[in-house]
Parts: sequence; structure tokens; C-alpha cells
Amino acid sequence: MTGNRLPPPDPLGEQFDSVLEAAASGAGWAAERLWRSLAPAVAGYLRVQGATDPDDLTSEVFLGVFRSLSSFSGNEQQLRSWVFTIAHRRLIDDRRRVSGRPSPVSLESIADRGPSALSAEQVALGRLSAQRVSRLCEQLVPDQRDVLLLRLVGGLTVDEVAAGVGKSPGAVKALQRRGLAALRKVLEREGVPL
Amino acid sequence: MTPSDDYDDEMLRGDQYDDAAIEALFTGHGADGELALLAELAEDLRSVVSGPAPAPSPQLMAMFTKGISTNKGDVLVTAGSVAPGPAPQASGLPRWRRRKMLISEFLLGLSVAAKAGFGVGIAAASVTAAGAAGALPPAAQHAVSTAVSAATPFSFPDKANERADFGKTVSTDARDGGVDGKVVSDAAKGQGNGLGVDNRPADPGQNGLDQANQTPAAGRVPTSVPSGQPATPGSQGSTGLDRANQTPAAGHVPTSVPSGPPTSTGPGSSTPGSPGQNGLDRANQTPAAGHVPGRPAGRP
Repeated sequence: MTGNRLPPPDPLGEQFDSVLEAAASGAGWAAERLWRSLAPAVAGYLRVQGATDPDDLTSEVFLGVFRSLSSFSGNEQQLRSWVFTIAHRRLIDDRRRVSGRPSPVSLESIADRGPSALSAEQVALGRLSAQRVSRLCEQLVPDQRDVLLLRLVGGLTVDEVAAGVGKSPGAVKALQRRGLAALRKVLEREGVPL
Repeated sequence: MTPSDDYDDEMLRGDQYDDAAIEALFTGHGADGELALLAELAEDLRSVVSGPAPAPSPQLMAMFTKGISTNKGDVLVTAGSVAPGPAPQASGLPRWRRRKMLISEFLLGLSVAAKAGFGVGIAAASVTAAGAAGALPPAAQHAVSTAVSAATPFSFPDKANERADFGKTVSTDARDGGVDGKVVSDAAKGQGNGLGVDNRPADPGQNGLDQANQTPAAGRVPTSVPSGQPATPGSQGSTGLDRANQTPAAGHVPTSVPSGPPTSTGPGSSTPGSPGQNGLDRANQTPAAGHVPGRPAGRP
């Protein structure tokens, strides 16, 4: 079951085909358009996964994307899947460079980067959400966290996640079930109001 | 194992969640039952990771402003290449190098499509450099010169055209009654040998060998000039053979020159001057003797 997908934060929609073709032909404005559409989610994924420098790693991801863009063909959702697969593999490389266990912390900085028009209350709520998400992600084993975040943040299907992490679709389904179960148990234990 | 243990194991595995419910959770279409507890968590997660794009790196920013090269994905411009480099030092360079620099700058300014249209690639760059120096074979030099002149504001030396023009000049001179040899001789005497050495003999009695010994060939010049008479008057084959023996071919020169019609003698033996001698017999009088094929078929 492929399932429907969440729309990206800044979808290109009907402009996607023309933007993709222009970017594949080398147009800088089209590359920037793709960057603005997908970079926020990629940076958020890398940040929640504990990348050492999420912003710099995001730029590295998109440099690789644009260099190989002429070989890509597909729709907007497929491009998103492809980009997140590249991002996940760069994350793995980053982890190997650090050669330490990732620490998905410091999500508070994400809330601080929000629009300045937010009220103090909204900012405070955002920080609570960031802290909460950070704490909950720490309860997951790395494989479970990878699968859940690729699905929730990247919007990838089971098959796409399987191709990205190098596992079978059945293994991915098992990981997402166990990850959700672990999260639910943490929520029940903490008694966090929903 | 107690039923509670079974329940705990099932909970840890997530077996109570069916695939449809999980998909609804992930796609934001709401969740029922126990997954509802997680639906809001999922929304919180999406909200904290959304927001404006981060600041792109300088290399990425350059790509946005100057475009992406489609040549195998290589980026044409990097942040470092934006800074202007030092002015090219063209003065004092040989002419062919100045030409090469100008042409290289011209080609670098072309788009990828224009370069493809010219058919100029890495392999052609060496031809371009050689063409600028006039170092290609005449036919290739002419072809490169023609192509460059047609497509660029530059021109390469074209020896083929120069030689063609030289032929025209000579032809014109011939039609004008020919070149005045005395005029040429006088002019040559006044020009020297182009090496800064005045070849005009100080001693009118000097011959060409004396003059040759004043050139870089000194020491390798024959010691004497044939006076025009055979070295051994009356000997057969003296015409040219004696002079040939005074050259580096000495020792490989035939000892005699056949003076008469060929004779029909066997291979390897022929008497100069005897009738019936054919080309094979004459060939046997050369250093190829002994390797010459036998009498041609059909001949007695």
C-alpha cells in the first residue's frame, strides 16, 4: 500500500515540470526554486537526526542533487523521495565522519528560527514542541527513528523508505510499527496531555 | 508466559496497528484509536521541522546566480572563480603564444553549445596551439587556418597558402622574362647566410668548399671539389662514380657503370656494356646484388 502523501510545505504543483526542466538545463533560478521548496524539510530532517551542521549538510545535499538532476525523471513526489534518499545517505556519511552515536537534541533552535512575527506564546509553545519531539525521538533506536522521520518529515512511502535505507518493505513496516509502539509507550509513561 | 506478557510483547511489536491506520497517520488523514495519541505528535514533528530554508552555502549561492553547467553535472562557476584574476602578461611573449592566449580566452568565453558547434574540445586544443605556432603539417595547417579564419577573428599562418603564393610569385617572375640570376647572385652576396656570418669570400679564389667551411658544417665538408674531369680518365663508370665515392656513400658505390645495352647473361653476372643486359643484370651491379630475383619468366 503506497498511501497518499503529505503535500510538501511549498509545493510547485503545476509549475513543477517547467521548473524541473529549467533546472536540469542549468537555470540557476529554477535550482533556487527547488531549494526553497525542499530545503526546509531536508534541513529539519537532518537537524532532528542529530547532524553536526544541518544547514551546511543541507547545502551539500542539494549540490549533489543539482549535479545529478539531468539524470532524474519523475514527478514532484518522486523528486522529493529522491532528495530525501540523498539526504539520508549524506547523514550516514556524516555520522561515520563523527563516528559517534547521533544525539537528536537541540531542536529548540528550530523554534528560534521561525518567523519573527510569532508571538511570545507561539514561540514558547514551539519550543515546548521542539523539546518534546527531541525527547521522544531519543527513545527510539536509530533504525526506527530513520523510518519514522523519513515517513513523517520526508513524506516517503514504505517502498521509497525501503530503497533509501537498504531494507525490504516488510522490514520497514515492522520498524515503523515498533517505532510507533515505543513512542506510544513513552507518552503513556509520561502522561503527557495531548 | 502470562497474558500480560503477551500483551506487552504485542504492544512493543506494534502488532495492534494495522497498515491502513498507520498509513492514515503518516499521510495526515487522521488516526483512530490508539494511534490518535501519536497523530498530534506527528503534527508537532512536522511543525518543528518546517520553516524557511536555511542559508545556502557560497558554492550553492553561486549556482543560483550563475547557473548550473550541464556538462556531466560539473559546476562551471565556484565562489572562488568570481574574483578577478591577474591581467595576462602578453607583452614579451612570442607571437604564437600571444595568439594562443587570445584564442584560449575567446573559447573560454563561449557557451557550451557554442563550443560544441565549433567542435572544439580538449583534443582540438592541442591542434589549436600547434596551428597557432604554424607547426602542423602543411595540409593540416591549411585546414586549421581556414577553419579558424572562418569562425574567429584570428588567423593562423598558412604555409600552404604561402607556398601557393610563392608559386604564383615565381610564375609571375617567369612570365616577366625570368629571374635575373645575376641580380639574385648579387643580392645573395649582399645578404650573407642569415646566421650573422658574411659569406662573401674575402679571397676571390675561394671556392664553395671554403665558404662551406665557414658555416656550421665546417669539419664535415668534403676536402676537395671535383674539377669536372673523371678521377681516372678513360675508366668506365667514371662519370659520377668518383664523385660519389667522395661522399658518405663511399664504399657502397658501384665500381662501374654499364656503358652499353643490357646482355642476356644469368643473374648475378653481367658484363657491363654487353648487349642483352636487362634491368635485373643492372640491379645486380648495385648493393642489392645477390638479392635480385632470377631471370624474368618467359625470357631465354
